Parts: sequence; C-alpha cells; structure tokens
Amino acid sequence: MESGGESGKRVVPKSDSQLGFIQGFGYIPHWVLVELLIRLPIKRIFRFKCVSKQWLSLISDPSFGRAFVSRIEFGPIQRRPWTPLYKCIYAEEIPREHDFLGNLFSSNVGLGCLTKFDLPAPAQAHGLEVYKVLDYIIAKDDNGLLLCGSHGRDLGNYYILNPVTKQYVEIPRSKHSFVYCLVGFITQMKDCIVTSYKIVRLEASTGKTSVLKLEIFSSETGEWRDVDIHFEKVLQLVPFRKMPVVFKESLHFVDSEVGILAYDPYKDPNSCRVIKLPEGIDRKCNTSQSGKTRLFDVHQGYLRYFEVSHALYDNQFTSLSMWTLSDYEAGLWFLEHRISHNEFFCDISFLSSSNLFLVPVAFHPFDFDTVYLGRGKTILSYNMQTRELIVLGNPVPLENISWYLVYLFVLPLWPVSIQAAPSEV
Amino acid sequence: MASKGNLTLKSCNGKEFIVEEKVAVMSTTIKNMVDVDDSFAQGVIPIIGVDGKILAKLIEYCKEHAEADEDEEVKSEEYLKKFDEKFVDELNLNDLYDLLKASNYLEITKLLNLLCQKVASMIKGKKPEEIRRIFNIKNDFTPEEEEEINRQNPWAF
Repeated sequence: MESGGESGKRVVPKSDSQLGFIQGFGYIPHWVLVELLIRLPIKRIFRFKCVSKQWLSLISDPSFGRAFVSRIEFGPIQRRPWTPLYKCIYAEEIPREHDFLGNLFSSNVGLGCLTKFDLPAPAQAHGLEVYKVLDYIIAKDDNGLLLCGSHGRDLGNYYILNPVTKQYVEIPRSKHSFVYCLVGFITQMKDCIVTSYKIVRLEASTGKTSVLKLEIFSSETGEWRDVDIHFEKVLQLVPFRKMPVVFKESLHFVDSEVGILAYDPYKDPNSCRVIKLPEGIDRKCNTSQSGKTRLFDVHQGYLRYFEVSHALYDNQFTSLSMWTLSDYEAGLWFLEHRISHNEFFCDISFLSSSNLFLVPVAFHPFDFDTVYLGRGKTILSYNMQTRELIVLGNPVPLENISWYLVYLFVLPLWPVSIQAAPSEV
Repeated sequence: MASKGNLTLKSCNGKEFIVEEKVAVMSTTIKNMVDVDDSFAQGVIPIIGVDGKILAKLIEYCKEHAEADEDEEVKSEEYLKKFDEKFVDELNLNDLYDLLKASNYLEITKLLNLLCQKVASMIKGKKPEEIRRIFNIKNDFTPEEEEEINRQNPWAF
C-alpha cells in the first residue's frame, strides 16, 4: 500500500479508536456533564459517583436530582422499580429470592423483605428481636421512606429509614402508651429533600368515644404533642392495624365502623373529616376477618377500595369488588368492578385447591387493571379487564406469611434524603 | 450579501454560509439576535467559537429539521429519525463534542438533546475506570474512599 508506514499504524480496533477520540474531550464543562448524566439510568448514575470528586459532588448536589426528575417528569412515562414489601424486618438471613433490593430491581413480582443486614448499624441496635423479627415497618410516606419501630403496644419508639440509601433518623419516644394505635407518616419535600415530616399516632382502642385522641410528632419542633378532636356523634372505632394512606397531603386511616378518617396535620390539625365507606361492602366478612380481606390505597390518582368476600362458614372466597372514590370532596364512591367466584378464568388446579382464602395485597402501581392477591404461600395476579387469575412464581418459603401485612414500595424518581433531623442536631 | 429571507452566518475562522432564515432560526440564539436587532437580518451574523466545519454540520441538521417542520409529507417523522441516527453515527468524537458545545451556545435544543443522548448511550455500559479514561479524568479518591462511596450505594450494583 502506498500510504503505508505511519497511516498503517492508525488501523486499530474500532472500540479503541473510539476511546482514543473521546480522550480529546479533555475538560468537560459542568453543564455538559449534567446533561449527559441525567440521561443515564439511575443505578448507573450512582455507580459513577466514584469516578472523581467532581462527579461525586455534582451527582450529590440537590440541583442534579432536580434536573434528573424534571427531565423524567416531562418525558415519556417511565415505570419505576417497585416491589411488594413485607412489614416484618427479619433478624436473620432470609432466602435470597426475598432480598429487598433484588426484588425492587427485578422484573418479576416477588415478595421483598428487609432484614437486619439491610439496616445501618444504629437501626440494627434499635430493634428488639422477637420470634426472628427485629422490627416492623409501621408506616410509609409516598416518597420511598419508611417509618419503622417495634410494634409493642407501648410507647411509640420509631426511626425513619430510607431502605435504598440507608439514611436513618431516630425519633424521640412518644409520650403516651396506647393500647391500640394507628400510625401515619407524612412528609413534605423540596428538590428531593424532605424539609418537614409528621408522625401521627391515633389512639384506636376499641370502644365508643366522641373524642379522637392523637399524638403528633413534628420535625419542626422535634417534639410530640397531643391533639384531641371532638366529634358531635359517638364513634365506635374498630381499627385494623393497616397503614394509613397518604393522598392529597392528608393521611387516610380506615376504620371499619366509622369509615375513612382523613386528617391533614399541616393545614388542619384540629379536625378530621370522615369519608363513608362504599355502600355494599361486605361488612360481615370484614368484621370476621378483621379487615384482612380489604385493600385501601391510592391507585391511578384515586383512592380505591378493593374487597374479597368470603363465605363465613368455610372461608372460601365468593366475589371480588372494587370501588373508586370518584369524587373526593363529596365522598362519592363508584363500583368499578365486581365478579363472583364462578366468573373467573383461571387454572383448574387453582379452583380445586382446598384453600381459597384470598387476601388483596397491592394494586399494580402502573397498570390500571391489575391487582395482586395472596393465597397460602403464593402471589396471584388478577386482571380486572380479562378476568384472569394467574398464580405467579413459586411458593414463598417464609414461615407464616401474612399477606395483609404486605405493602407496595415504589422507588421514587430520585432517592430522597432527610434534612435537619432532630437526632442529628 | 444575503437576499431577502436569507441570513449570512460567519464562522470563527471566517467562512460564510448563506442560509434560509427558517433554517437559521432553529437556533434560539440566532432567532433572538434577529428579532432584537434588524441589522443582523441584513448583514452578517458572527458565530463566535464555532469553526466552519462544525457550522456546516449544524446547518445540515437544521436544514433537514426546518424543512420537515414545514412539510411533514416530504420529510416524515420516520425519515427524520433515520436522518438523526445517521447524523450522529457519522460524527467522530471530537466533532461530537464540538457540536455539543455549539448547539448549547446556539440553543438548538433538539440537536443538543440528540447529541447528549448519543454520548449517554456510549457511556452507559462503561465501568467507572473506563469513564475516567474516556473523559481524561484523574481518580482523585484513595482506594478506601472509593470503596466507602460504593459501600454507601450497594443498590446501584
């Protein structure tokens, strides 16, 4: 070849020549880096924190999280990682298929569980191990934070945990001991940083009362304070210890008798709105199963109430129903779906099984028609459009799994962090 | 001198390009200049810090997109997508970087987005040490510090 010599040496494999070219990039201006990095998947971005001090500080800066989130918010809708999450935090190793992070980032629907090894050291020391369970998830906000603690019926003794970044914030002990207690957790955010949070404990000891007793912790004061709300009529609280739901900046506690108690500790801490439960719910089943057979959560921007009815004599399910709170202000429910046990499409082996006790677990966070149910040791998915009931995956190897203690965990667009925590002051 | 409806753009190394106004105003920066000061529309618009080669590339891109905006039938979305793919694939990395800077300065948002996406897809699968090589970055962490950072983000691995 004529050109020979020098130019011949330039013939190098493509990948290397690409790298060679990029080395010409030299110094990368700040804005270019931000524009490039916000286009990467979130896990990649966190891996690249160790590239250099400049990259670490750039990625750690709140403005970066803000840029990342706003790009996604205005872009096409993305499905964020999610997993059903079990309420118990185990004190020992659990089978690998229940690893929390593994399930969070997996495309299969499996049950995620936290263990001692997912916790930072102070949280590990916090728990009191009882029957292999170190602590419990008591409540969650809608930004990927968990309120954890021991679930004794004594003083509230909590900490806040970000299960992904492992940030830990200890909360001072509450003042009161409630026999039964419903606990809510609500946060306010700016630029992916929690600027304020409140923990609401509602005394729900069974019995008639016209006074609702609350105990509220505010991050602003770092203290618990009492709030009594007086009702004109006598309430009979029949609480079930499922987490309250955060919707429209209010906490929504479900009480089997009274209905839904909507409480906004920020704007209106001295009153509580009651939203009636849908007409036509199966109150008998609900009472006999202590509310285990219902699911109340936010789904597709609405509050939804899903119920599995069971025959009282043999605990076999008879129908599924779902209501949507179509008008929040007026408290109007709309029966969206109802199907009886002989109208399903499902595997024959399923119906021939002796155990047909179904517990609703969670709504699919991004799919309008899908809801997950638990039966025995298996998860099922039910599609309200096609009426198909499908058994997913293998039976859960955990002992004594209680499906009504499973919640939906959805990864926020960008991990949130808590600012100015009282225990850090 | 550009005729009516055309603008003259001048690169930093003195090359002049006569382009249709609708092509030039794909750049928000140029659009603002023309809107604010009429003399730019008559005379020559200097494009500071962008050489002739890069400016020609920018014009090539803007021409296709301006025409597509005007007549969707001739240049469909499908056609544009293919054009974009070919456009970035043919760039060497020096040009890619120079175009990035230029499209940022000239505020050609669509192109900036396209170029960033291209570079992001190139670095997506790379390991941190490869990233350092690519961007000529010195690792200023001690091995202990690096390990600590990775330990704080176990979920990312």
